[in-house]
Amino acid sequence: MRILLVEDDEMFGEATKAGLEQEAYAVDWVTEVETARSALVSYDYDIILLDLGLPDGEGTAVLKELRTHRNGVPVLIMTARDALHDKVTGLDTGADDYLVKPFDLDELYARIRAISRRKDRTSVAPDIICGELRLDPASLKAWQKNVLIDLGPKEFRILQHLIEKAGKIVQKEKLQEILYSWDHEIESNAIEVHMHRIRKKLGKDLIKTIRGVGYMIEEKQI
Amino acid sequence: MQFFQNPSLKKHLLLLLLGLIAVAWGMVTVSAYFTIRAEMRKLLDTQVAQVAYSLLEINLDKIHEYEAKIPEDIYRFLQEDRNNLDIRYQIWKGDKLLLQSLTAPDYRLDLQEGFNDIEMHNNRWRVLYISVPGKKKTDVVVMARHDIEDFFLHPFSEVILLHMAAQMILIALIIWFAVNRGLRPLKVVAGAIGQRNYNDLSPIEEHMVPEELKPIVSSVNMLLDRLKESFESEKQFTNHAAHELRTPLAALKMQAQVAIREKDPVKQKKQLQNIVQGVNRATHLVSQLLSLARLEPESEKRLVMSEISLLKLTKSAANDMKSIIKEKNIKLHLPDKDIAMQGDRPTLEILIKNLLNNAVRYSPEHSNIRIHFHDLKEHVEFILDDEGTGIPEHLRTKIFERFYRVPGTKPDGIGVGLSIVKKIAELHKAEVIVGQAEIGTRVIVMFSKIHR
Repeated sequence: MRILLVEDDEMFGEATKAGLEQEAYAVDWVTEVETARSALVSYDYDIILLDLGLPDGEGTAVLKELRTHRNGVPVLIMTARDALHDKVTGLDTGADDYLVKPFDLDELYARIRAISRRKDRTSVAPDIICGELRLDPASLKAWQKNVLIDLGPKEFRILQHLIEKAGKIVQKEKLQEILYSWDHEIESNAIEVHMHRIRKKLGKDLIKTIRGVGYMIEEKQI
Repeated sequence: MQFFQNPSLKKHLLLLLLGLIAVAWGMVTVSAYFTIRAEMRKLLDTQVAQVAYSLLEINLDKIHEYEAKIPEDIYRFLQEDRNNLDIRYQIWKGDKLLLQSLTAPDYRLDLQEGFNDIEMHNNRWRVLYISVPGKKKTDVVVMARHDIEDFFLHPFSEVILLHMAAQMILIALIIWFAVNRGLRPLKVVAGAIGQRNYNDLSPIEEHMVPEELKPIVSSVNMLLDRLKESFESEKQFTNHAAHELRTPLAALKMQAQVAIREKDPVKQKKQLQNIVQGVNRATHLVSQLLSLARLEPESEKRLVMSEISLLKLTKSAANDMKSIIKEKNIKLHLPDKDIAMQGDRPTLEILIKNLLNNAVRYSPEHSNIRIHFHDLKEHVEFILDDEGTGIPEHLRTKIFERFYRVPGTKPDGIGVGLSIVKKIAELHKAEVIVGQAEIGTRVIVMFSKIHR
């Protein structure tokens, strides 16, 4: 999951990014409307966390542009503006959720999970099931045949993504994108290292390597 | 109806109008009374004189041949009619009473020739005495009751007065009604004003108001307008302030929660340091907001003007920012020569501190900040030059607005520093000018030496 954080307050932005990274989300952080626009052009984000009052304009401007271009990317507004009018305007402009600062980090996590569930209408249950595997995105825990498996957060996200895209080949670059924001130095074999660890814990057969392209989980597994 | 509780316009108008009408009527009545009385007296005199002349016409030589007999019905009529003029007469031939009316006295009255007023049998009488000279000297005396007013004028006056009293009550009612009606717009306006409150400060419709009330209503509307404006700005301020306070608090909470979850002690320490910094920032915000709030309207009266040393004040302001100046390796150049001026020490120090704070924040590291004083004929100038990026010309007035931040600047302030500066300058009747320094921004505060 890759998140675009649009937040002009340095302290708040830094803390939010750190908090989201603790949950193994890849976070790209921009502070202005203009940089948010260019980030949106360069990448297809899974969720946008949007502040309203930005130094060079209103966050809703970005939202409006997205929706006029029929881009349905989930947008969560995070703002200190708690007036009813602001909430209504924000949601009616096309936001999926509205969080008033200050809020709890746990609530932010839960709302992000809820939004991503809603995005993919097929997964209405909080848990993700795949054959003998069960994943709980809230606790980042996974079970195989009801036995808890000790997965790292990044390993969990790789597995989650592959299950969500079951039957399709997921490119290695895509996996890099969902794990690392643009300010991270990525070692060229990082994904391979993660994949090796996952296979060690879950067995070799679950994830197939499509040589030179990427990885996939067979649809029949589900 | 607070407005009219004392004195009452209604009562006032009613009493004034009734009083004036009563006085006018009183004057008319008195003058009518005397005119009528004078006319009646003239009439009485005429009648008395006519009787006298009639008597003089009598052929006295044949007087014995008369045998007067008044018909019964006429006699009764005369008896019963209260308004009947009681006229009596005597005709004297020398000393002999030749003829007399039945009720006339049979002795000579003490009279002057012509009209006399005498008292007889407890009544006043008008008596005409005519003496016809010659060998057959004849005297005619005709007398009529004088106090006919008692019979005629007084009852008449009573009736008039009674009518007047009745009419007075009627008029009072009409006036009461008219005044009430006339004052109704006042009541409507008062009601409309009474309805206005914090939530409804809409102007009162002026086209419905009578001409006389327009000045009041338009002043009230002006007041409402000003109130609305100040409420509006108050609300905006509160909204802004809430927003600006909530953001650092949100950041603090977020950082604290991130720190709680952090397992790496090195990262955790860094996060805790961030929290301390965040608290510092929030503290700064609160003190800025407080000083702005304290500088709100009417604070001019609270300024205590005294002779102050500008250099000392600047040094004290700079001292508070020693650590950040040192941290950024900024060199602060202060003037050698001091200037004494009139001012309120605490607020002026805030002004200088805010200007200096801005300069330090927006200056690059290893740069210079220069402060000069100019002692001119009419002004004292405080000049501050920095070597920052400068402020574009079109933003130089905007930066003084509350909560305005120059786009693209790091949002570590809340954008009230310069509006505080402006407010304090206004209180000191000083002017703040933002311009271009050699490299960065030049800010001039011009204090007038002429005290008002």
